Amino acid sequence: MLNSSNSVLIISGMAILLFMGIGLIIFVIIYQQQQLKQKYEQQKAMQELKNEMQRQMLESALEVQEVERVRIAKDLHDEVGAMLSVTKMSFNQLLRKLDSAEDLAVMGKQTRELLEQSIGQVRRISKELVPSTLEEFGLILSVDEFIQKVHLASTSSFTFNHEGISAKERFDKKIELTIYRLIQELVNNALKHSEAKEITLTLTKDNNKIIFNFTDDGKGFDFAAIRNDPKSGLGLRNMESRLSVINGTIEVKSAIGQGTKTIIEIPI
Amino acid sequence: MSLKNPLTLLASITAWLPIIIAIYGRQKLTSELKILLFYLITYVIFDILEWVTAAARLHNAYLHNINEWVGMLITGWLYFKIVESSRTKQKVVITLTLIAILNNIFRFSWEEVAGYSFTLNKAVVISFVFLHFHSIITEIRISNILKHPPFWISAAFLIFACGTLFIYLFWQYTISTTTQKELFRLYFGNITQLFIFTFMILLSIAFWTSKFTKQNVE
Repeated sequence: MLNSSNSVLIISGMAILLFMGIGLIIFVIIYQQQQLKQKYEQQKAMQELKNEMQRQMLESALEVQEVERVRIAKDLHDEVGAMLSVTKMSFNQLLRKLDSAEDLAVMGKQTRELLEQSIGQVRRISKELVPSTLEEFGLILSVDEFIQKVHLASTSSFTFNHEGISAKERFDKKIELTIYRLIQELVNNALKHSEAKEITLTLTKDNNKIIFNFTDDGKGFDFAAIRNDPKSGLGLRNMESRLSVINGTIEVKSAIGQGTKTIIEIPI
Repeated sequence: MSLKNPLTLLASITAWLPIIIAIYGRQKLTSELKILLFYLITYVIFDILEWVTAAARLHNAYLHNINEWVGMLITGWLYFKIVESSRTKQKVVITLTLIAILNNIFRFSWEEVAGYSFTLNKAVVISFVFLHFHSIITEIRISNILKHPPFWISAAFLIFACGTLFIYLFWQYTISTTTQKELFRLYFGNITQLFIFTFMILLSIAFWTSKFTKQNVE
């Protein structure tokens, strides 16, 4: 028969085993959650690594693109441009000898004009491919020069302001080139697609970032629709890709008939 | 009996709770939960038979033993499904179930509760739970363990097995025909019934959490 001390032993054994069981359940809950947390952190780290690799690949691709632009510009300027100049000189000599024949002289002058136009085009393409002003004089002056050129070729009016940035202030080469290319893209979009009459560009330096505001009074667009369209959203995605390399952000506010406002922030 | 041992009545009524929840959410039951439902239905059938025989003042320890025997078989089947991600664990489950079933057959008793068989069954169930918990913490496939039905099934079986193992191990002193009425009432009428009640509540949670299964497992 069971006496009271045996009963105490049985109940104590039961209690100990029960506590061990409950302890095991609690341990499994806590341990599993910790393991899960670790797994998510590892996945997050992997994703960050993957993003960083993509960013580096994109950066390399953009660098290669710029190098290729330099090569093409150099070839155009040094080889095609030089050849055209020599052809023009040779043609001038030929034209002097043909002064007596009136019809031939008229044709000759037309051909010389075509040659001059070709030389001018080669120079322009060469300059556009590589913004030499950017490399030599910095962002503000090169943007200014670019806007003046576009202004001459279009009917739109441009306003360019720079606050907190002096005309000769220099930034990281990648940042300068990215902003310059973005301005080219935005101005091109505003003139080509938006039919803007007034374009305002503002570059501001604020502590440790550059803020670039671009506003036009064009016809605007449905941002969400353009963003999700693989064909028409290409320019926007290109700008985002370029910005991702330098950890910049872009915000576009637009609606049909209400113009477009683009805000770009780049850490420096 | 119900008036003298209200916990016995409460435990028997609570056994219907997981069945009701399972039937209510029957469209979302996974194969493990269907096996568990089958387990509960057999349990309730035997429980009713035990009530009827007790009311008729007939000896019914053999019914309790058969119930345990059938329960062990279904529990083995249940854990065979639960640990299906590992063939080795499945083999361990089959082996332990066979040992427990054979032990139940050889130690079967018509007159007494087969305490040693019950003890071995509880130890085997604890082993099953260990195997399952090992899978949970090594495979890391569940995003929220508290919404994972098999976890609650294992928690229920573990608490019930741990809580009652000593009662069955010392069955001659606790729940045999020679045990003093007061002690029998303490161990079987109160403690065991309290664990059955807890077991059924935890199994009800398992059925209730079945609605989260899809989004919870990777």
